[in-house]
Amino acid sequence: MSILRWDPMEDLYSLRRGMSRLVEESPLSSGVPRVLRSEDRELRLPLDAYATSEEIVITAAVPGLGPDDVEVTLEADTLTIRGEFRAPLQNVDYLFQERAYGRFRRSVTINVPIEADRAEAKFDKGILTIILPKAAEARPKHIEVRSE
Amino acid sequence: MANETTLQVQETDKQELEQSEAERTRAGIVFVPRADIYEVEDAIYVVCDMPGVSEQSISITLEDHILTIDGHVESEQPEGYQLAYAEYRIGDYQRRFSVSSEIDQEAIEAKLKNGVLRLHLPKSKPSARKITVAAS
Repeated sequence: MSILRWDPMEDLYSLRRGMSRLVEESPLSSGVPRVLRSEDRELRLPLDAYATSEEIVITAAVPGLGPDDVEVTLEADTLTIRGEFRAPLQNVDYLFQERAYGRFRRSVTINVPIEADRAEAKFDKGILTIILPKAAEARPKHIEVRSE
Repeated sequence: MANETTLQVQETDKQELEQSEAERTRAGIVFVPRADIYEVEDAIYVVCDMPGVSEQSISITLEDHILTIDGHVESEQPEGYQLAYAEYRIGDYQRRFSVSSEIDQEAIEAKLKNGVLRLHLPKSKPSARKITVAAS
């Protein structure tokens, strides 16, 4: 049995790899761990997603943001939502400053074929809703049974 | 300007609100909305994140120096769906602040845009009210 020298840094690296996997959920991101510096700290955007027989619907709360502040892209099977919550005012003293600010990004993989051309995104009362219609082959088919 | 804090938050955590004290008629989760609050010489500004709340489903009251913000959120998820992710939970909002400054109740302004509530609470002018003495 060989004795290996324990490298405590290795544990740290693998921890960081694990962390960056958490941050970079997209399968398209490279395997190289990205060093997270404080200035490129990104917020994680919580999502809800549900599927009906016709479509996949993804919602996220983006209070204060409108269509010009958020970018939604669909590349192959990966949907990415990016944007930024504006920083609080600089010239006032806050008694409370709890609202999140900074850039956010979230990628999710859609494992159902969708009709990208018919995808739509809309804003209502600070909630972003993305509707991805399922491709015909992913929708349930109704087969009529006829008697001979 | 006096450097004393004029606002105290009753609920510090943004988490779920205890159901007990409020006489709530609707079932469901209640969240404490995140807030930014700042004070200038003649007013207090309160900014609250309340995504999903509309003008019709919000109520703001200031009574006995307690500012109460209540917002109701309708769930728009249809029936018969499969939930894939549920990280952002739907729920109502409620939060109370105690305001020690005298606020000019008539001049309070509330705006709701893109799920963000902005409240402007102007402080009352110092009550240098003149008492006129009528000669008999």
